[in-house]
Amino acid sequence: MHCRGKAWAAAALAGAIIVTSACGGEDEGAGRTNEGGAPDGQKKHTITMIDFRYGAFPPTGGKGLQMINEKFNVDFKPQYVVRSDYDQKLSAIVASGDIPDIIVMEGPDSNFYKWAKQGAFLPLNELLDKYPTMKLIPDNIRKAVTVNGKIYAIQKYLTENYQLTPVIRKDWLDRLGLAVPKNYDELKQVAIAFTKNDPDGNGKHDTYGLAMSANINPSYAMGAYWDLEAWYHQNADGQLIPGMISEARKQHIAWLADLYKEGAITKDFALLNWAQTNKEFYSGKAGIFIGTPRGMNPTYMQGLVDLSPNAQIVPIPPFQAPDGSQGFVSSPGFYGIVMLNAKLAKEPDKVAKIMEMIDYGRKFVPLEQRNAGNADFDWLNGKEGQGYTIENGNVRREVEEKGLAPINYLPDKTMWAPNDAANGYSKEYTVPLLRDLAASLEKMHGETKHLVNPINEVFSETRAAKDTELSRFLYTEQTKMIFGEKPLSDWDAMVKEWSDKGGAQIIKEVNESLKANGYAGPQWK
Amino acid sequence: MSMLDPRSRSSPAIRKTASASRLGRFRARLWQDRHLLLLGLPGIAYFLIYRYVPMAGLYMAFIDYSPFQGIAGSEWAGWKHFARIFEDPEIVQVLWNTLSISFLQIAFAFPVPIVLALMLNELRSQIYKRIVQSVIYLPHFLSWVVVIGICIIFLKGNGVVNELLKQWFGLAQPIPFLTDPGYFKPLVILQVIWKEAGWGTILFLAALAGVNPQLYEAAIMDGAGRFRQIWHITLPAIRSTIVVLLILRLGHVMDAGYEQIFLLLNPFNMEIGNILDTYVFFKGIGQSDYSFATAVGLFKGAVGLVLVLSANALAKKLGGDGVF
Amino acid sequence: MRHRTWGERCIDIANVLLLGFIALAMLAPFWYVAAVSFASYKEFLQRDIVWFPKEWVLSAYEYIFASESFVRSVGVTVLVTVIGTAVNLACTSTFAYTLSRPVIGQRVMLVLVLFTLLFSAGMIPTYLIVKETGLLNSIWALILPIAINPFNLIVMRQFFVGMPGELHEAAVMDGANELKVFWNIMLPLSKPSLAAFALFYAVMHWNNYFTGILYLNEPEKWPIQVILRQMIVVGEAQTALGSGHILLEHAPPAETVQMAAIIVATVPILVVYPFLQKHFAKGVMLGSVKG
Repeated sequence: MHCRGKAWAAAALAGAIIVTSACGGEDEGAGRTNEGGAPDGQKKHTITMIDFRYGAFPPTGGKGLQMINEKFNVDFKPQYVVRSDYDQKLSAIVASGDIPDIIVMEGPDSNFYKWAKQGAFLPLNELLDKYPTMKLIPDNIRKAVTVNGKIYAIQKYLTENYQLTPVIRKDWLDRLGLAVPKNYDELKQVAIAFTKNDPDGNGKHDTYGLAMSANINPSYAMGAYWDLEAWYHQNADGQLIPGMISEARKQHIAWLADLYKEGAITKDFALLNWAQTNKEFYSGKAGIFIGTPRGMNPTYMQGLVDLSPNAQIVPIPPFQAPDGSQGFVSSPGFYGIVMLNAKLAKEPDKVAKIMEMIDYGRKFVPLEQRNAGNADFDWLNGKEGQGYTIENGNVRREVEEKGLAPINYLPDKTMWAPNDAANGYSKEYTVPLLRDLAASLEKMHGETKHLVNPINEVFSETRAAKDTELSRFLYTEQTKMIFGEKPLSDWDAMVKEWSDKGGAQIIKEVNESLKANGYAGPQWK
Repeated sequence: MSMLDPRSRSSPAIRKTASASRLGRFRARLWQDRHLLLLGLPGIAYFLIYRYVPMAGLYMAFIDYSPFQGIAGSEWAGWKHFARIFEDPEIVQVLWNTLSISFLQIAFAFPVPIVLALMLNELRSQIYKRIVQSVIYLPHFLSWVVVIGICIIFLKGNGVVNELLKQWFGLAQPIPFLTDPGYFKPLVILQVIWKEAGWGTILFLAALAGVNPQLYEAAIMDGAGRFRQIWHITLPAIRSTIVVLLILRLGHVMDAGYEQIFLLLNPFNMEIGNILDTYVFFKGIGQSDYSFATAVGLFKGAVGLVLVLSANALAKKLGGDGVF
Repeated sequence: MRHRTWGERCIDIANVLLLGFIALAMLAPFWYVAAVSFASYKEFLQRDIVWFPKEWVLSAYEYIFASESFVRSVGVTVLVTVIGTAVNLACTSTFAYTLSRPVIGQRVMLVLVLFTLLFSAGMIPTYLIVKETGLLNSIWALILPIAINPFNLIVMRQFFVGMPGELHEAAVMDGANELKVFWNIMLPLSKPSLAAFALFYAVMHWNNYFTGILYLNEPEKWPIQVILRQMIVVGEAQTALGSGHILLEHAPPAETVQMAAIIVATVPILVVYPFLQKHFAKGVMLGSVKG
């Protein structure tokens, strides 16, 4: 019986296990990385990687992988894990001592900071500026992955300003003879009109204003002034505070409470998950939701088009705030980070090879050149006819599962664009409604200012430990206020409790960090 | 044997021969049981390697474990993680929630599979029995996400149930099934019954299959009606199974159904619905705090252990067999 | 056949009706999932609840079966389930029987087993052991580390304990040792409990996704639940307080596909169950006492 044979062999090893597992930081001799002898530029390096995926996974040894091996003369061995279980698998792998050469994460979470401090990653300060695409990463953005002066990660591109902002059904506005709202009073009128005046003209009382999900998401902040995540306002002591506890937010919650009473917000929104709330908008029940130029779901949009072929959606531009500011918050400036194993310090050749691979994946190709005519584009996407085809001037890529293109495998395949508009996201959609909406969103972002959110550049220990717990508390209280189960007058008590539980400490740490970084006041761009 | 008689263990000489005998007896016993031990070898090896050796990892509860530093490299933390469980005053309410939901489940949800198994046993048509059997365990295969998603669609303020109530009974205000704390516990119990009762019948049906039909025939000849048969034959036959399952269930009293409750929690029923596992989750979210998680696991296990030992002793006192 | 009284007939009818009603209640949500899986996305958007699609489409199922990784994972899962369940039954029944006899160390071993039910080592230590025993990235990692479920072990032991003592005595008098008793007598008589636990273990293997994610590095070796999880869980994860661009960029497949995934994952087990059902019939033990 298999049980017995393996059991005896393993039992013999059992005693050594605790000792070896205790030496977590040392190389287990799994032999995956090439221990270099004399630095030989022609040597074929074995490069291991761990990365996460939300959807499909490329197969082991697909054509795209072979292309990478050929071009860079390496033996690339990547591993992919479903995002939902990635943290756990990564922890297990790190615990067993088998840390891969390249590690990809979604963002600098508390694990990142903990492990960086403990010396898991290679400092990249000298290296970044040697590679054209990495040199482009702005200094203030690099701060987010800097620990004790050392930069530990290569940040992947994210547009500066293309965040999620509210959008509205223009066809409904037209039918009711209303204009796109410019302030909260108008927005309230429109939301209530959507609820009471049958904007889709089907004679049924089946529509309403704002689609909302659990955790008051989206919260329809029409500018950084009201944004719950923006650190814009100051408290009585002159310290910067998070939007969630600001006076502006309080007014906003009161406004939402009024709307909820009128039935203009998704009923029982606190019970719904994100998918259900999407359904509210895309099935034509709610008239106001959110959108962004990049990454909207064509299936949802097609569903809406099928149901209401005359649907038109436009963005709502930011409102002017009482202090005169106008504009949404900018993004953190990156999404996704790539780290190198600290042990690679002994192998500068290998490091150079890895950086080369990563840099190549980030090459920017202008919109007009995205076809077989541009050698880089063609290679990255797996060669025309194999990894992609061109239909009606649009690039149609093969599914990731087939693994026919190098971009299915590379750690960083996101082009670092010179500016937001150069990405041309709107042009990549096939559903016309989506294309138009994305284009108008791009236009709006191009024409409005955005606040640089200072919180993205500092790290607070307490915040990493307690922020989600504290935020959950705030969401719970504020949801109750919107439902009318708690009076708005409880606001100050809520803030005090938040403060006592750790909020005050967070404010202190963040402000100290900001001062150390030379923060000079709100920046708009 | 007289040599092991305590009264004769008076002089060193006798004591020495007594212990030599004890070792001898031990080895003789080992030899005597060699077949059984051989038979159980795969099981013993399995538990040692894959269950007990890893348990050394429970040590993580007492250190600030970081996967990068490993167990030896991480700093000592003493009881810090256990203390963290109790640092918020709301833990009292949380523990109360956990225990009350668990005990309600034992009181209401535990007997249902037994009753169902008995009902199925009484069916005359084997075909009907098979069909019903096959259907009632279906809910077990649906994940909580699906089940509760459907529940929400039905029970929310403007959901199906409230709409029907409005139409048939002219209800003015919708019933807040999902937000009113008063409905929470009954809802949880009903959901658990619905989802797991069918699956739970399997074990009892297997136990019932082992009951000798001759006993029934004899009872019928003695004039016993259906319920007397159940009371005097069927139930005693599966009694030990019931007791064992009950004791084991008690071992998990601190698990009140994490996934299910997490999905049902919202700002309105949070106070009454927050159980230990969700409380810990909200505390540690996004942190991969293995030390904390291990400490909580130890705590839960300790409570379960106390209950299991007590229940086992009680079962034996009442004249039956315990688990051990 | 004995004549039934009027009262008994009533109870019988009530029993039948009540069970029927319960069966329908249990079937309903499953029906709902199946109905949505055969509906078009457009119809799903339109109607709150779909009991019977106006238009039956197979697009959700096509989407799933078009995925090569999915089809391959079915083969893997069948293999793991069959071998795994065999290993489970072998290891569990032998140890359960041993523990049901007054063997030396019985009490100690029972307590130790019970302990594992209450205390578990955790993901990382188990991972380290699995790695040390050389099972990483092997199918055996899905079988050996979970070879015995302590709950099943204890309950199965209980079944053995409950067997008539005369059987054992008779066999010993015939000169059989414990191995023979186990193999020739106890095991054949345990068909009901073996069937029950075979079902439990098979379902455990079939539904298992986490060990697959944790121990297997190559997508080709992944069992069915890992593949399906990609489709379903992505949607669930987004109820958390997440950033917008992540939410939209990785939008899950339509709910109709998710429902189809659930049906596909569940149907095979439903097919297996009838084969095991006959062991739950009455009177299986009958032959043993007489013989």
